[in-house]
Amino acid sequence: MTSTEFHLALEAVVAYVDGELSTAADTRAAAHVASCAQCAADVADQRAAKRVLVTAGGPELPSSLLDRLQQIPFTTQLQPPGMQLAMHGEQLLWSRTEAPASRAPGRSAPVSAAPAGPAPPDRRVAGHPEAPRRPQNRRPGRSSSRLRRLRRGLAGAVAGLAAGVLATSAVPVAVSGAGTAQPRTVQERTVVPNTSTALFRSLDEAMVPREFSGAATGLR
Amino acid sequence: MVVSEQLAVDRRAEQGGGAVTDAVAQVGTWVPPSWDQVVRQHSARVYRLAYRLSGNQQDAEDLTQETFVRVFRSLANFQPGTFEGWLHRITTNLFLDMVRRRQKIRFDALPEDTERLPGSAPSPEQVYADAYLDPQVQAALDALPPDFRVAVVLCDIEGLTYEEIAATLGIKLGTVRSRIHRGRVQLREALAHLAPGLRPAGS
Repeated sequence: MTSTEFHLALEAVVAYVDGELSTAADTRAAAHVASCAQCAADVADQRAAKRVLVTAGGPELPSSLLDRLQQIPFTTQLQPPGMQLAMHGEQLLWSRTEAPASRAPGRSAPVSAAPAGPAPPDRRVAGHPEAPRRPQNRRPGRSSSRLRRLRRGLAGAVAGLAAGVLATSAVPVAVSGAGTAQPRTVQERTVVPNTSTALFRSLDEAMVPREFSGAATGLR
Repeated sequence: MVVSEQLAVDRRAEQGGGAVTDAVAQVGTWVPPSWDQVVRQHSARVYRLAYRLSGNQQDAEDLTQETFVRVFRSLANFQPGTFEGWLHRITTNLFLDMVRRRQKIRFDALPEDTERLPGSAPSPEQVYADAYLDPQVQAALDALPPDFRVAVVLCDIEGLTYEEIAATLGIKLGTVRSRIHRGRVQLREALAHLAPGLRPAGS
């Protein structure tokens, strides 16, 4: 039979162009494309579109934007009052808590944010906020000045601490590629101190793309 | 004041709390970057992604700013080894969220809780940069449905694998392939109208 009696599925064409096929499948696809004008044309079209984007220039980062980004630790509240991040389906959205943002007694973060060991494993799951269980009669103004001072101090503190954790992203071992997945136990230990966790406990956990750490196996 | 506090914390972190030290022991010498370094290392790429997705400077700046604000707010939850994926995910989700909101309420604004900075006239350097942006390529991208545009941009401009795109967008691999394929087909059709010269011979 001739190879022109069938054609590559469109998904195979695109995966072939992007080098996403297994070695065996890639070999078969190459052989077919070599003898099938229609599939060869599909491949050429995909490659042409890809080439246009790959070779396109990129925008220059405006210096005024760079300035604003660098000012974020000094201009950003850690969390809008009365709001929290949560997953709504696939979307990460701010939603209002029923009571003003407050912290459980005894868990207020001290300003001296000295590392205090791993955070507890039962970190809050996004989409199941504790808001409804909070006291309804809590007033926003009650501890707002203290919280504001705390927030201002911690804005810098957390920036330093948590940015420190970021350092590993610049290390070759941790580059976001396939094959660098670490055991989950290690992942779970790389958390920031309790103080920061307390501060951030209602922030959205789902922002952390854990799928990436586990997604290093598969296609290739 | 805040700066000195941050530096003090940096020093504490360098001296090593248990968890932090454990986290980095496996990768050798560790020098904690400042927020400034984080911004300098990642901002250009985030802005390029935001620009390619949104197609204009104002939205790209807003998306970039909001992405870094969320990064800052959520730094405590960051897990090493995922930072670029994290940025891609935040930026693309913010973009898709923006698109959906505009489709729904047809009102050109970011969320209320976002500090939207007042727009300013483009500076000479911005005008210069925009002039080298291949406007026809951007126009062709803008013509794509947002879901297709995101998949194609993540693949061909950001260089992500299908698996990384699937994880970023929370979709299946088959959907990734389909969106990239259809996105490229539509991109070529749009380019054929906008810039016939870009269409290669033989098709």
